Parts: sequence; structure tokens; C-alpha cells
Amino acid sequence: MSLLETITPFPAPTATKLDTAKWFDATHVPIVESPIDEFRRNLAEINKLYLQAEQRSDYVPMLGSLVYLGMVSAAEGYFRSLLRRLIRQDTACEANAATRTVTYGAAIHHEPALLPESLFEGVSLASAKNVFSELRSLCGIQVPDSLQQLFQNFEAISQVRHCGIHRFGKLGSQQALRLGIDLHKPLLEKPLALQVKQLQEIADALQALIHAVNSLCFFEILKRTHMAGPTGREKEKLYQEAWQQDWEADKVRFTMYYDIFASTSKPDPSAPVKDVYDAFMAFVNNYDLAPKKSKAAVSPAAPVNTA
Amino acid sequence: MSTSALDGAPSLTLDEEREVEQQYEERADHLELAAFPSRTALTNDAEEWIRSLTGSGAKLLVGPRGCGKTHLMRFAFTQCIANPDLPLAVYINLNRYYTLEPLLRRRPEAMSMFYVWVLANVMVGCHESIGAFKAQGLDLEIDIDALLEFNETELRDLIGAYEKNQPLSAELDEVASRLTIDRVKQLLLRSSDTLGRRRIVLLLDDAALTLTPEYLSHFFDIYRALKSARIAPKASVYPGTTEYGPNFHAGHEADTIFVWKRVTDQDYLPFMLDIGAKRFPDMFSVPEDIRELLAYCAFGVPRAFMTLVRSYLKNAKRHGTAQSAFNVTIDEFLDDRVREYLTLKDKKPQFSSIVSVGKQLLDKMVEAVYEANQLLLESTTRQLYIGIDASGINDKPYVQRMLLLLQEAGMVYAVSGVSHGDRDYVRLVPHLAAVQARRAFAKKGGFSARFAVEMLSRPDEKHPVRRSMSTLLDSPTLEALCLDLPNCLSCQTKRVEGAKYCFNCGEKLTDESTYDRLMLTRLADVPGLTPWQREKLSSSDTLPQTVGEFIALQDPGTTLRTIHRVGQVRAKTIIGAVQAFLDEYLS
Repeated sequence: MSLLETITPFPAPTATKLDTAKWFDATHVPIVESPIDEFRRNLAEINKLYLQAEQRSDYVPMLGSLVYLGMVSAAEGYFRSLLRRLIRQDTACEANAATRTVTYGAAIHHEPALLPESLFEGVSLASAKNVFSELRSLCGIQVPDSLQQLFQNFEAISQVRHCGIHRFGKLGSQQALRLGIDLHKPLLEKPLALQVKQLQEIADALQALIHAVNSLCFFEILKRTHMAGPTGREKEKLYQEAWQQDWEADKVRFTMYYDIFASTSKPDPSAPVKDVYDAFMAFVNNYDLAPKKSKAAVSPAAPVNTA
Repeated sequence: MSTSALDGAPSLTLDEEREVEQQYEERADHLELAAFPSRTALTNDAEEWIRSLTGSGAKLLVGPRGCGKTHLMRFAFTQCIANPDLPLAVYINLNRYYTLEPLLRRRPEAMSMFYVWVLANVMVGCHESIGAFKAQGLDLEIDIDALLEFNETELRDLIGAYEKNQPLSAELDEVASRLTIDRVKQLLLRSSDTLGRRRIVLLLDDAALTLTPEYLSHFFDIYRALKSARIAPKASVYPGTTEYGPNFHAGHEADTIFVWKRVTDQDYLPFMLDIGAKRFPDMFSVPEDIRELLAYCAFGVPRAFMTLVRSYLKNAKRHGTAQSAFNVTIDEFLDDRVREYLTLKDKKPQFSSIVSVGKQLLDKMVEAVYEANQLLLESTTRQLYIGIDASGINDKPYVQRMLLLLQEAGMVYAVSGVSHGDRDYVRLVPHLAAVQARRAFAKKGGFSARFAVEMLSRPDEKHPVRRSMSTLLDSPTLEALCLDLPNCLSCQTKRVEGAKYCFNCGEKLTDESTYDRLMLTRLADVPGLTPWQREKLSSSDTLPQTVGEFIALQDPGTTLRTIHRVGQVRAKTIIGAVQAFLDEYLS
């Protein structure tokens, strides 16, 4: 009788009831950092895991599969942080989010600063399509063609992530179809076996996408603050406040935007805030001067004028 | 270029003025199209090369700087216009790719921008072609903008915006988004139909993209995609290029046409002399023996031959004997070649120490060939080949790379390998100017151009001088060969070869932009300037101090002329020197 009940014997766990509240770091004080810096910090930590394992000759593909999930999670985390910050701090994004619904639970329990986060609770942002549509509907940003390839790579990474989460790395038919059945048919039900070189390529692809999106959003939103501001030529006025074109007067508002997007991490930290402000003022002046449409380039460059 | 006569002397002689003018003419891109048919030497080889450019099939035109690739392409272009049986030719020069190099280091979407830039250049080329056809008096009522769907000014604006790294306006963004491979192919076909030509050849000049292997591999994806039954792309590259990317297999995707004349060919001398006679008839003022010896020392590169002739004529005025004029000419020329080769250290910093060791290897090869010829002085053969035991090269990527870099700069000519006994040998000809400078073709103590030419005209020895890598370079040198990679910029840890991220801090390993670094070069440090010019440039308050600021000037000529005693001509020499510096470093 008991044999029939214990085909797979196993000792009773010592912790009879799991205390999930102990799993989180209650003392954690959030660091004030931009979404991109948060992403870079997370990615760097993940990178160290597998790169140092390789240095010690300890690397196994199993580690690679786990690290992979972490990387995608870091990317997804970036998009959440960015959208949350924008809804809180940019009036146009806030207006776009105003008609969206949050759950009752989130509304009564969340701090106001974190409330926008609950807007995305049902949405996976590890999906190029979802990121695309959130950028468009919440931020009013159309992703240009030049970023297509980066998003395609992100979509491929996201598809493979499904296999990592739900099927312990084995390639399923849904994912094979989305990745291109021709090349992937022979790989159905084969396990993921990532090498360190490929993990670095994945990290690189994710970081490239996120840096590109970050730069894009910064420029697009900043442009809009002027073009759809009180003195801009856009019909729909999304901003009540105009740029004073004086650093002392604009400092607080500009720095608010700068802080959402700028990175202080080495290598390649963002340019200092005043430099970026000056570049923005140059854009504003150009825009104001050009009555109808602003043409970027006037004449093709010649290396040296030999005249 | 040498302008040493200008030192301390304010005025230029007529000769010097001419030299300045000629400097421009020597580069085929500065020649007027009309000058091509009369100035282009058509030997059997060249005819075949031209045919491969006007014929069908994808081709790679391979040769070092100055060997005439641009010349051949522009000649093929004029042929195509004139002859209705030939295809529609579209000429595109990619030499300004380097302005997009900084994008690679700063913009994740740089590849897409490069892609649009290439296609925009193809479309501009197409506009120019149709314009040239119309200028030929073909009575065609063509609305080019309607035919090509892209307005030429807009295309040029788009290219300019990328090259100046300016944001695209909404209009230009729209133009960029319409530029796709498929559309460009369609428009090319439509143009050829309109002009009544069956095929199209795309002459993609200066496609070596030396500074940016990343773009090169992407470029060959585009090249492959443009190729079709009626469209034949032809790209000019340097020898030794291997970075065509994972999807492009040279030899399989395209035929390789070697347009670097081999100095050991039977008809080498007539080939070079014929080019000389057509392109720089002042060659005939050089005594025949010397002229022929200079032709050998040019090592298959017409532009080098021209430089040698000009430089000899100048030196002959200053030096008493033909011998000393000749020796000075060769030494100066060789110095320039070596200097140009060593610029690879700046262009490809990761290969810096491999390039340095490559110079040692070249010297050893020259020494080996010298010794072999000294034993043949009284014989009836010559020895120009060195054969290096392939076992010391195969499976040794750094050694292979070293030989490729020597080829890229035109310092060695690689020919197919040979087997001898049970060993395979890689066969190379080291640069003949270097062999000549070592006095390989002279009896002890005596110089005779006649004798050297006689010796160089002999048939080859049956076997090359055989050496192994380990006898040419000592083992500590060989074992120490490695890439020169900068430490991680975040934590200064030494990087692992091939790594994208630092194992110590986990941050991205980044490379600095070579273009940006070169733009910071002080103007007064540009090679080819005279001490007088250097002094003036560095002490001027009105002039920018770096090359980058200088080339950003709207009108550098006028700015230069603000310096006391700098007029039209001197301004032109300075601009010429900066241009030569850019060409040399960036193309």
C-alpha cells in the first residue's frame, strides 16, 4: 500500500510554510539613478557572472540559460522604469496615461511614485511589439526604420526567452515558427546551449537597443516640449510651459528631463547637462528661425575646399 | 610629396607650381573624364580588366593604392557611355565612408545609417550617369527625378547630413525610409531600360573601408543583395582584405580581378613604360636605363612610377651624378612606402605591434633576396621570390595577418604557393624598391643602371629562396605576437581577445574612434609640410590648430591666405598636404 503512495520518496521539507515576505530586501533604499544606469548596473553584474565563470573555467551552458533570463529581465526592467518616470514627469506622457485603468489594489496600496508601474502589470515588455506600442501610445514616439534591426534582434531574444522560462530551454514549435521555421525546424525540442561569446552578443544587442531607444526618446520628447509648447508650431499644445532660453531659468526643468535619460556610468557617460542644454538651445533657435520646415543639411560636405 | 625647396624661401618657382598642379592630376579622381581615353594605357592586361568591369558578373578589383583601380573604373565608365552595346555604368566612390566611422562608436543604429548612405550614393551615381548620358548628346527627353523617384538634391542632402552627423529632418527621414535595396534595384533596371541598355554595372570604387571592418562586412551584404541577373556590382578593394563578413565568400560570390601588375610578368616593363608614355611623357627626359629601373622599383604601381620619375627629375638637378640622384630618389621613395605601411598602426591600432614586426620581416625577406642575387651576379637568372615554409604560417593567425597587412600596403606581392619535396611554400615578392635599395642588383662598389636592368630582365630562378618563419624572425618575437588592445576604459583591466565586455567590471569594452583621433592631429604636424609652413601654421592666431577644425572651415584657402606670405599656391600646397594626409590615413 505505502509503496503505491511513494513511487518517488522524498523527505518532508523543514520549512513547512514558506515565508515569502523574508525573500525581499525590506531595508533596500532605492538609488536615485536613471533607468539606463539601472539597466547598465544590472547588466554589468550579470556579465560578471558568466565572464568570471569562464575565467575560472567554470562556465557551463546551464549558467548561460539562467544568465540569459536575467539579461532580458534587465532590459524589460529598463522599459518599465523609463515609462514610469515619463508618466510621472512629462505632462504629455501623463496625459496619454490618464485614461488607462489601474487595478483597485494597486490604487490603494501603491505609493503615488510607483503607481504608474501597475499600468504595465499585465503587459510583458520583453516583446518588441509591446514596447513599440507602449512607446507609441504612451509617449507618442514612432520608432524610426533605422531601429528596426535592433528591435528585430530584441524580438528574437524574447522568443528564445519563452523557451527558457516555460520549457527549460527546449525550442518549441511556436518559437521556431516565429524565429523562422526554415532554419529552426531541425532544432525543435533541442535545448538551448549558449556559449560565452553568444551571451556577449546578446548582451550587446540588448544594450544597443536600450541605448538607442533611450537616445531616441530623449531627443523626441525634448523636441516636443518646444514644438508642442506655447511658442511651437504644433497645433496640439501639449505643454503649458515655454523654454526661457536662459540656463538659470530653465535649469530645473531641463535637468529633470536630463536626469531621466542621462547615464553616469563609464565608459561613455552622457555629456554634461549644460552642454546638452546648449545643444538643445541650438535646436530651438534653428527651429524658430526656419518658418515652415527645417532642413537639416544644406550642402554635402567636401573634405577640403581646394578653391 | 616634397616641397623642401620652399624652406625659408617665400616665392615659388614655376616648377614647383607645376608640381602642385600635377599632384592633383596624378590621382585619377582628379582627372577630367575627357582625359581618360587618351591617357589610359590599354595593354592586354588592362583591356581584360576593363572587359571584366563592363562585362557581366560580380567582380572584386584588387590592388594596392595607386595601382590604377579608380582609373580603370572611370575609363570603363566612359566606354560604357560611348558604346551602346555596353551596359549602363554607375560609378560610386565610397571614399567618404570614414566620416561615418564615429557613428559606429556612438550610435547603435550606425549600420542602418550606413546602409542608407550607401544606397543614397548609388542613387546619386545613377543621377550622374544619366546626366552623363544626356551630356553625350543623346537626344533623350528624360525627367530624371521622375524616372529615379529620388531628387538628386535631397539625396545629396541626406548624404551630407549623415557625413556631418546631423539629425535628419522629417523630409530627409522620409527619403531615407524609401531607400531600400529592392527599390534601388528596380530603379536601376528602369534606368537601363529607358536608356536602351540591357545590363547595369555598378562601379563601387574605394570599397576597402580600411578603418571600419564592421561597415565592410555590411557593405558586402549590400553588394550581394544588389547582384542580380542584370545588375553586376564591381568593387575595388586592397589586397589582403579578409573582412568581407560571414555571408560573403570572395571567390564564390564574385570573381577576383587582380589589377596589380606583377613585377615578374614577362611583359612587365612594356606595360609600365606604356602607361608612363601616355600619362606622363616627361618620363622621356629620364635616361633609358634609369627609367627602366625606376619602372621596376615602382613594383607594378603606376602612380608610384610617376612619383619616381618626377622625383628623379627633381633630384637630378640637385645631385651631380645620375647615380646619386637615383639613389636619393629610391631612398626617399622607400621611406615614403615604409611610412605609409606604418600608418597601418594608426589605422588598425589593434595590429600595431604586428605591423612593427612586419617591417622586420620585410627587411629579412629583402636580405634573403639580396643574398640570393649576389650569388647570381655572373649567372643568367634573377631571384625575386622568397618561399616561406607554410607550416610556420598555417594555423598561425597573427603571422597570416602580418603577411596580409604587408600585402595591403603593397610591400609584398603574394603569388600562388609551391610545393617542394614534402613541404609547401608561400611565395612572395618583396617590394623591389627595397631590394634595389639594398643594392641587390649591383656588383660590390659599382652602380650601373644598365647592369641592374639587365639582371632584372633575366628569367627567374627555378625555385624561390627558401626560408622558414623561424629563421626569418627569432622565436621570442614570434611567440610574443599579439593584438594590442586597450585596457577596459572603466576599470583598466587588461581585456580578453574577442571579448565585448570586461570580465572584471562587466562593462562594455569600447574602442575609440580612429577618425576622431586623427581629427585631433595638430595641423602643423601633418606630414609633407615644410618647416616654414609648420612654423607659420603653429604660430598663427587666425588658423585652427587641429586637422578637424581645419577641414570644417567653409573656405580653408581664404583662411590660409590670412597668413603673411601665403598666397594661392602655398595655400594650395598646404591644403594638398592635408588632403594627402586624409587620403592616406582614411581611405
